[in-house]
Amino acid sequence: MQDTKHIVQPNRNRNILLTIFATVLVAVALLILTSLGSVKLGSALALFAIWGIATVSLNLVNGTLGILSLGHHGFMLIGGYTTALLILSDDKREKILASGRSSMTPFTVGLSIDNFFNAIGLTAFTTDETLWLRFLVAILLGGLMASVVGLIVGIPSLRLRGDYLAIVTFGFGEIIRLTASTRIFSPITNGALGFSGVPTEFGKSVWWTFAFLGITIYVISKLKYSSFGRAMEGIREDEIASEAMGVNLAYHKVLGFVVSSFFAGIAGGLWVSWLGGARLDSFLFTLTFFFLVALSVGGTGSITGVLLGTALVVFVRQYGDPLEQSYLITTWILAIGVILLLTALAIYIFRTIRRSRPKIIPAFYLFLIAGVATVVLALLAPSLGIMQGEFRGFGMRAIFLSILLIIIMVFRPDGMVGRAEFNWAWVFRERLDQPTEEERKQDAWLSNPELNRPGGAANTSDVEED
Amino acid sequence: MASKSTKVKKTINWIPWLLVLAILAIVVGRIIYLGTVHDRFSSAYFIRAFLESLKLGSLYALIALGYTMVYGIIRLINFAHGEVFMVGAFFTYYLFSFSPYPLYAAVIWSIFIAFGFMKIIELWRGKLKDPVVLASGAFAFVLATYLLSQTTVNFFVALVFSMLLTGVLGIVIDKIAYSPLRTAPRNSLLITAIAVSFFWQNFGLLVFTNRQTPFRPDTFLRNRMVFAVGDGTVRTTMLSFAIPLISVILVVILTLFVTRTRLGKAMRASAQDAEVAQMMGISVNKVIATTFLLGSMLAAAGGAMWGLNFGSLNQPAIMGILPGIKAFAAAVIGGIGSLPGAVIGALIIGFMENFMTAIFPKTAEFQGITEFKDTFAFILLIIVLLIRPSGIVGEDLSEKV
Amino acid sequence: MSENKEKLLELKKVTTHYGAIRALHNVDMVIHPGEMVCLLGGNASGKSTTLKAILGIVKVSTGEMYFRGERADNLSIADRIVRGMAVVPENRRIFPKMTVLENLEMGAYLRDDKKGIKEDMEYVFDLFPRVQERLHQKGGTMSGGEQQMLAMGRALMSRPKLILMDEPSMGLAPIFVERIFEIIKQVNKRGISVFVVEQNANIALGIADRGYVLQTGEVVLSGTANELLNNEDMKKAYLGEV
Repeated sequence: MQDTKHIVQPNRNRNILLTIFATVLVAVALLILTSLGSVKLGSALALFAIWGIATVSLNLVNGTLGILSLGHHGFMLIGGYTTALLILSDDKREKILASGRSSMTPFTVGLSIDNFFNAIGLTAFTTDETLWLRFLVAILLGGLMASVVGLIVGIPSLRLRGDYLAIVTFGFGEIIRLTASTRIFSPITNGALGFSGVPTEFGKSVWWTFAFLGITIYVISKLKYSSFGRAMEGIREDEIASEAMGVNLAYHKVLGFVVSSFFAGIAGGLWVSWLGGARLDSFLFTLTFFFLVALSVGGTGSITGVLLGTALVVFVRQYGDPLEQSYLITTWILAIGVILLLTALAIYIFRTIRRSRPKIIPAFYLFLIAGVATVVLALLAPSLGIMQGEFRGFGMRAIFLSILLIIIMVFRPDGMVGRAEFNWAWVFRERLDQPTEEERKQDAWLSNPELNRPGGAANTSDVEED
Repeated sequence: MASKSTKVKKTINWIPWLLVLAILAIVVGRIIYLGTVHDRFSSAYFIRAFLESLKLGSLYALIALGYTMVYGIIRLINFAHGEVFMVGAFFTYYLFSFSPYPLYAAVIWSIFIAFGFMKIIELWRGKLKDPVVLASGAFAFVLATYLLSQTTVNFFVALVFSMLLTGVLGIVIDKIAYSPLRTAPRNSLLITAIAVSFFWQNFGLLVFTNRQTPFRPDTFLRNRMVFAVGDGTVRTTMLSFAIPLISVILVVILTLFVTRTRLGKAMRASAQDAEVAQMMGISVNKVIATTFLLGSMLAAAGGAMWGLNFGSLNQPAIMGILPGIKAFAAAVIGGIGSLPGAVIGALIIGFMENFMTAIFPKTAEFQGITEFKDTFAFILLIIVLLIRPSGIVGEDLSEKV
Repeated sequence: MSENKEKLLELKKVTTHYGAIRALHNVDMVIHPGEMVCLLGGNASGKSTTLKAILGIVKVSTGEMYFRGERADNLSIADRIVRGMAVVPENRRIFPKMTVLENLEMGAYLRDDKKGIKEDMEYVFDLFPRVQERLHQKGGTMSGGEQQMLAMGRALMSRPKLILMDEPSMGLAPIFVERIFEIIKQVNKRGISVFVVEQNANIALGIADRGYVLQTGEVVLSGTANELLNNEDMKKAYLGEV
């Protein structure tokens, strides 16, 4: 047997210590940011963590399994509403019942953790101080409910492929939302009114949200980088071949959906807490669209990429308000002109880097001329007396994200980061996938022309046998 | 062993037809019940419900055709098609509401309108550089500029212009967002379609904000029609006949194009085997662009008539979403890739949505099923995808293995 | 010998790539007007790639191709068809949901002369009476042999000077294979050059004038049909004799 001591192993102990150290670092950073930063920063960070849970779990299905699931917002809805229903305070419930506009019944109003705890004798845990415990139970139950629905949604995945399956998941997401307001479910969901008054100290807290994010990352990455995850990737690459090699398609697909929807449910519960209430409008397909942008822009192949994408999306959502204010029309036109010119510049730079010939293509001229014309128009307009007035940039953030998504899909479909995952080996420049010196020596015969003839190594009629 | 599974398959094939029969039985039974029990439900009531469903089904059909054609050729579910429908409606609104325009604005509109017209003529002549094409482009440009700057265009002119404009929009969307991804995995294409859809929703929001836009052009189509049936009167508008009629005309033209003309046959060939179509010298890219052109034109017609029918346009961010999804469901239910299938599916969805809610209305004892009307399409879609993905008209795909 | 004869199709040091992998390497080939040339080789030898490169589906990385005296490797597929190429694809690949008539019409897609198209269709009916019988039947409902006839008819509809055939014997019953190759010979006698890619070396060399043998993208043997039939290596590797 060969001597295996020379083969480089990932330094497990060192990595674990480093991860612990990094976690502590992150915690300290959060502490500093929350105490020195504004409230806005705090809630943005929390939102990042909450949506991070959603995107990382979505990536398990979309990225690792390769199934485009478009119903994630539906799972979050289930988790969120479950949590909200279970955790609402008693006076909130009385208000709802008394309001006369609610569709809830005394029975459904009574579905609270408090009552449950009281019923089983855990009265000690129904105080204000122990709200956190009840919230924890509520969230976990929310995740559980969502995973049950995830199981149901996962079943069509056994029969359908690709785009049809995507549409079915989309359909489920919409059906969940549409029926939530009908009289079948409105006793539970309070119909179009929803619930307000969900305690926000958990959803807005970076500690709660990042803790759950950490758990999510841990679980998902353990799954992804295990044989289970590799089987899922095999299904993504070639279903038939995987099945032929013994991979149980049903098990992996359904389990993928169940795990993914469980965490979506948790994210939903935290989201509801962040918002302070549960309303149907908080769970539109728009949510899944944001997640898709995060996944695609960051990189569906790695958790790191997904988190980076989520950070971008959250940033745009929370800090993108300036885009949606009112500005002079001429200012907008000027901005458009500048963007056109920058695009022309980008085209020029790209073609120079890639050494494509010809360097100057028609598109370049198009953008250049259009950009100059627009800028000139914007600068001259005031004196010409046209295009006066202001214009409000409704929906600019979503426009920006859609354009970004299209650009990424066309030019860099693997996302900014692609498959590259953050790991300690990369930090230390240990190239685990490269052979060591010892291994190179042993493999030298592969490039030895003496031993490598056309016809294969077997064709060694004039080389001495050992 | 083999006979057992074919037996199971044969039973499963029966299920859709049994369901259809069951639904028909429920409908007929319900009509009879209502008719005998309540006076409100005279034959006039049912005829009106029928007319409304026919209108709705026709509108869905115009949208569904675009979905089915695009899917047939490039296997893409064009999520953005609902937004094309929305934009078509808004183009129409803009054209009849704000004309006459100042000259520079009329010129800008007319450039694109003329370009759309040239694309149509190109279908006949084959090349953009053909003198007939260029001449008709010039003619269209002049005519459009005149009409838009000197007159208030009427609904029909606005409709035609909007169809041309939206057709061009369809081609542009394909060129920018979909054609670079011809060889990309299908998931990427679907995601891009979703992105395009969101872009247009929010762009519409940008331009029109979130108010509802009234859509009341001055046209005879909105005139009321009242006629007596049995012991009741039906109150509706000319649209009840105009919309199905116009839809039928457009569908017939499209079908003739696809079955009789060379380019139309090339479209069908490309849908069946794009690689071999290329080997015959067919420019598959041109075929795809034509598909987007035609599909978008139909969607624009649907959008304009939708606005006429409902009297207003919903805010752009949501106007196209539900009709788009329902039209897509219609295309799948009828058989994706098949033109008659799209029409059949659309009529089914229109009837389910409208007629069913009409025959189970809100009465003293029963709350009615109106709140579920939007879910019918989704549920039907999922059922069809699970039991018979090839739809009504399509071949039974499960047998192909 | 053939050095002074006119060349219909010529490939000079043609190399193609599939991504980073080299599929064809320095392939030299000539086809003269009226000739029938076959291209033989095992699986993944590059036979189909050669045909695709000639037609234009695969781009030539280096090297040149001339068709009827003019440079052709930079032309679009449509241009090559207009100049006189036609293809009968592997596995027939007729349009299954279109009628026989429509399939034939697709073959004549780039033509405008109605009279000529009618004449050529008559010729196809002559060659393949079965095709005329089933004129309004959908292509997908026909048997493999009938589809092969339809595919050939479709190729003839563009009045080509050169027909490219990709493995016509694949998946056909032996009796049909004989029939098809008889018809190919008939068509060739009309003056239409034929370039046949085939795995079945015996039958291809039985009717071809000349042949080339490809192995891993390179031409390893070439010569007249007789030369190849009597070649020792050929016999061992492809012709099944000892």
